[in-house]
Amino acid sequence: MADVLDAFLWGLDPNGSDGRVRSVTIEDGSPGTDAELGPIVAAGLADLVIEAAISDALPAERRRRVGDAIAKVDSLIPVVRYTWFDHARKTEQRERVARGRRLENELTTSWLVPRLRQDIAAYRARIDMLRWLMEGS
Amino acid sequence: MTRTIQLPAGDLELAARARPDLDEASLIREAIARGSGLVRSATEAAPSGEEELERALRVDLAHAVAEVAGLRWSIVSNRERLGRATDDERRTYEESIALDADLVPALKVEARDLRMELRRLEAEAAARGIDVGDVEPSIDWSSTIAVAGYGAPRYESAESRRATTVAFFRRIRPADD
Repeated sequence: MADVLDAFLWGLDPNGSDGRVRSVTIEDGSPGTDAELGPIVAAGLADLVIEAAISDALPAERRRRVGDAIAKVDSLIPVVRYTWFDHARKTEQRERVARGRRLENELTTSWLVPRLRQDIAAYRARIDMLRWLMEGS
Repeated sequence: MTRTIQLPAGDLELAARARPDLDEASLIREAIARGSGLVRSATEAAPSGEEELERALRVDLAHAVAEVAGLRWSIVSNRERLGRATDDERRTYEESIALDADLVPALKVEARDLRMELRRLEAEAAARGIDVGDVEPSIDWSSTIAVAGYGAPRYESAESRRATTVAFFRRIRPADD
């Protein structure tokens, strides 16, 4: 059962997680919103798994195994915090860049390009008129 | 009344292996009951006795698992938004390159050349005695886009970089005896 516990604990790392999710039906009246309930269910499942993993051990060994599990999860916290920070930062940065660039592109296509075409048409019209006048003079 | 929530499939599969005596509904019901109890209970200040000590450790474990699971949930649920932001960023960049590298420089160069040609013709017409001030259509110069002296940006390509590198090494090569 130790391998199940290890797999469960390392599965908490989103970098190692396959990202598969399953929709499950629960009784309404369960505590918290969906976002709050996820961590509670994970904590409860972890407790079920650790209980199975230590069931055959003596008290001191049981505590040692729970302590080891805490150390493993604790070691994940800074990594997962950084991963979340990095994802959130990248998301906001890319959204901001895309928003600014989209505005710039819209300004170019809706203002600069028509204005340049308008100038070009005006230059051509005057050039044609000047040439015509000079041919006649 | 029931409601549907999404949970990591891996967590459920591993917990089911640890507790094969429980079906999925019972497993989740038990997990919610245990998780609520553990996460909401504070660690006792000074646990005494083996059972209390183990309970305190399991409360600590539950808190740590809940923290990581919350962050994991945020990361997994943000993946789609990050993917969308990455696609948007790339698409707007490609549009920007198409405008700034191809369309706008070509129009500005065309406007610049026509403007120079117009100035030349106006000078030539004036020299022939034509009053260019009366020639229509006139140009409202103050409202035109300034393109005098405009030079189209030169973007590097693999070939231009190769040519620059070759030229550099030719320049610094010691003179042949």
